Amino acid sequence: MRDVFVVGVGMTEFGKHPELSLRDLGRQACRAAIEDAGVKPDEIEAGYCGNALASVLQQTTSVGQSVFWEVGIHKIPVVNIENACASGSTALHEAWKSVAGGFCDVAIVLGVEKSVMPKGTALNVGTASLEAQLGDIFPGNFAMMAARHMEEFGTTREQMAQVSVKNHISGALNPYAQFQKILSVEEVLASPMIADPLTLYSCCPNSDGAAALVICSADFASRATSKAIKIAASVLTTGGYDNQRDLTGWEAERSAAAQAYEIAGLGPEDIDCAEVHDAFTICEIVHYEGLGFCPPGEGGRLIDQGVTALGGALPVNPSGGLLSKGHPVGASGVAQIVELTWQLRNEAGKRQVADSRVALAQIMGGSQQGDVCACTVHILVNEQMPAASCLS
Amino acid sequence: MHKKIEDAEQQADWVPVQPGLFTYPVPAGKKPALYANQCQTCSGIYFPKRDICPVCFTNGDLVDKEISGCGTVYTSSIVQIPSPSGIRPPYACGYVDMALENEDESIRLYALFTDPDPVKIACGQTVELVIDEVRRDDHARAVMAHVFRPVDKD
Repeated sequence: MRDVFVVGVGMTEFGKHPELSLRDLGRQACRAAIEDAGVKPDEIEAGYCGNALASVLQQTTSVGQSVFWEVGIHKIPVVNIENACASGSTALHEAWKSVAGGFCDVAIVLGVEKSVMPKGTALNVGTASLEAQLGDIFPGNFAMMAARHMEEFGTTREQMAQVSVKNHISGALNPYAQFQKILSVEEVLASPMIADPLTLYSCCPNSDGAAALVICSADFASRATSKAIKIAASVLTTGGYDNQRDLTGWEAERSAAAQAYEIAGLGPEDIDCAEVHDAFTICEIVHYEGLGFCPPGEGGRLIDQGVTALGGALPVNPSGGLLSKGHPVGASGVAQIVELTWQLRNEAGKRQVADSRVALAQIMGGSQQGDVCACTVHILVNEQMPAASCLS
Repeated sequence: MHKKIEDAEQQADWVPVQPGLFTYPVPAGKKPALYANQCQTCSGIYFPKRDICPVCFTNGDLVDKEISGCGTVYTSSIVQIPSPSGIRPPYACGYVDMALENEDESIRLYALFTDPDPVKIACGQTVELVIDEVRRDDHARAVMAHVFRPVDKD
């Protein structure tokens, strides 16, 4: 397999964009990524578009072709990918396979979504499954995970609230974030209850937005105008849906992380910063454990120690995460890579994590039998930065 | 023939949330029961019933089992917003561990609870399977489903 590099990134501001269509949002992100890479649209040989909900919420399909044509990309293979919240990151995984496998030299990856819902309503991801018929919605699903994590490990409401506080502090430093407001633990806990123990500010918002990447082979990267960031690992897993499954973690995540570390020849101790799927506060705590940042059950203590805050030893969600930056479902996985590319290029402005050489992105999506449907882990490395420099 | 069935369904004042999960009304002298099946090769239990064991990839080796009686709450929550499928808040939901009769095996299944009382549905509490209305459909019919009712311990 060939090495693959990210050479162009771009995204829209995340938030409420009632006046912009999927095409408008997608066009803005693609144009930014193409300009950042310094490539011409007709040099791009394949296009991958992650979108989760357009078929349900906008009653439309084939979003990729309609957006890519807006920026002059046509006549090439274009694939639309739906993998719930991991739609965008799965699009990257498939594009990475195409370049790594030698099927093309340059590919564009888009994640785009318009998922703002009427106030006070849960995101409608379809109601066909038995569980969905019986009211199994995402906030409830993760509230049940939180309740069990509290029962088994003594994780507290305050620790979970602290995740939201931390991510809002970072989001306030990110001009692309939906929320630019700092919250206190008390404000998080006192916000309206959604699904006990998760309050409104324990849940990510529904958002509109898009993010895009240009990825390429090493030969092509040497011609790019931006700093190339290597994709050291790209892994996609799915759930096992076992009966009697332990609902305090996900095997799909542990497995994806283990594979990614092995492929990259790195371990959790090598990660300088990470973007993880904090759709709900409890998720981030569970991801610390699943990704090996701490032992099982100790995620709450990691947040107490400040390890994962900006300025800590391993900042997590320096972009503000889904909680503060927003969660346009299909775009989120791509936006994580945009953020980490900026971090590794030292272009992240006020939220820059100093001396970042290795970064990890994790996102997951969907629910079946209480298990996750899809999980991706990507590891990015700035090879122009010597490994020793992160010891300084 | 089809027309007749449709007419009968139109006239009923209730519908099951999904066909094939349970018998309703519950037959006299019987406990409410869910229809599951179990693979004779790997002992895997499936609810709703499956045609093929996804572990062993065998068919014809799945034996019907009934799930009934009491179970233990594994986890739960009380939801304060409406679900897109029309369950009205506040509603309580959770995962319940149910043992199969005369078997070592048990199954963990998602369901609603009758009562949004956090104390009665906390982890480890005992709950009993019942068939109950969970919402009304567009024709004002009761949608019936398996639901767990807290069991008083005194």
